[in-house]
Amino acid sequence: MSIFVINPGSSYLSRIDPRCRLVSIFVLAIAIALCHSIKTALAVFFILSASSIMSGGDSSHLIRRLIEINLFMMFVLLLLPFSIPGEVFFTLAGYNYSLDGLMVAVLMVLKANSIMVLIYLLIGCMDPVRIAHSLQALKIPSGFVQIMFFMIRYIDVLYDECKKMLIAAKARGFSSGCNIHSFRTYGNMFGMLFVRSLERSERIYIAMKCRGFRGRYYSMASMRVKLIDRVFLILSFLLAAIIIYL
Amino acid sequence: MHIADGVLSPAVIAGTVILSVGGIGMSLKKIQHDEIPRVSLMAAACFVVSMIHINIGPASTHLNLSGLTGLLLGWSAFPAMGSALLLQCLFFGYGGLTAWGANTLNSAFPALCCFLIFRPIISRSSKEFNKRILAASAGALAVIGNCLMLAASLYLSSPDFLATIYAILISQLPVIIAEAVITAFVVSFLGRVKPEIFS
Repeated sequence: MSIFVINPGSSYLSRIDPRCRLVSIFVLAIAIALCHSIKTALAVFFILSASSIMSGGDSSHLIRRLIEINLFMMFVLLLLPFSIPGEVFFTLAGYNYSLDGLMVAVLMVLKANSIMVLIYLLIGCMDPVRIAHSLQALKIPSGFVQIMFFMIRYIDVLYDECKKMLIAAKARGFSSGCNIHSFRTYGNMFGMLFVRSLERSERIYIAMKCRGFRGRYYSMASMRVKLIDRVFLILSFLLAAIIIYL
Repeated sequence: MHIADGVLSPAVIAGTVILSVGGIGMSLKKIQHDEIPRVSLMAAACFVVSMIHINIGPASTHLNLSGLTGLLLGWSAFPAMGSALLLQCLFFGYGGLTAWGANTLNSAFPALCCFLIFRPIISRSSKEFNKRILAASAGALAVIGNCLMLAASLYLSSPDFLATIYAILISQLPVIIAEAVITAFVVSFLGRVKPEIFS
């Protein structure tokens, strides 16, 4: 099983050209990051959440991502209001938790969550390889995209290898703790993973050379911008402009 | 610790994106296309290692091993981390999309510094013990550098983040020790089993 959890459902957005979807994500993400009104941020968050719920599919993936992103936001939400002066919400050990600060923090939390929902909505059901192909079509430097292709392909393989080593260690009575023995075992395990990856990369390079690799991957799926893609792009630019303007 | 969306100011977003794209561009010029499989597989291995959770005291955390990534990849750390962070952001929700530049710069730049400072001494040192000490300092310094750059990018966005920055720095202290110890063991293992990895 791949660690790249893809939402298995197909949403009504999956007919849109992947390049247009990526461009729209970048533009809208910047717009949301620049937005400074809490009402707009709230509206954007609700619109995006509603559309991603309506788009069907398993929303447990989305929730898992939102939990990850909000672990960082907890630091902001709990501590930022203490250093912003304003109307006092409550006082803890002589420090004031201000209402104004809370508003600033909530705005940040809304922005972070909106962008995650946006990414999930637009490319949550897209195959990672397809995303890499689209990035290549958008003229991202080929070296960077190739590294991405390889990583998408081999992270699963190496993760399996790492899990096998962990199981083997556990079968020999290893239990992870906070001591030098555990750290040494992990160190040797990770070292072995690096050795195997290096040797694997040599085999891959030879195999690719045999098949005439010339530094580019070719996609079999044709990418053509249709009318619906243009409309979608124009709509997302408009939405971005509205978000920044409000 | 990766920065989420919505936290950084527009100036910091623009500045960090320009610097990371510049770093990636410079290192892509140095990579020959026959090196790409090696760079990507090492980057993938680092990605996998960072998914394994390790117990530190009562809590469990995952490692970044950015010092080790730097020692192994050198200049290629920039595209490797840039691509890893883009995948993290698009598929797992670690770190934000608009904070991609900051996250890439914060982890790749200390890694590159570790490479420039420690790689020549580590490959030259013959004693096992010295190698371990050097590797441990590389591992620790990479995390410290990463934390300081994260603090700087938050502080430049808004000085009000000071309390948040302190909390993040304190929460990273145990990670520094774990990273240092594990980097030392990995480097000494590689020195015994596959010495040419550092040549």
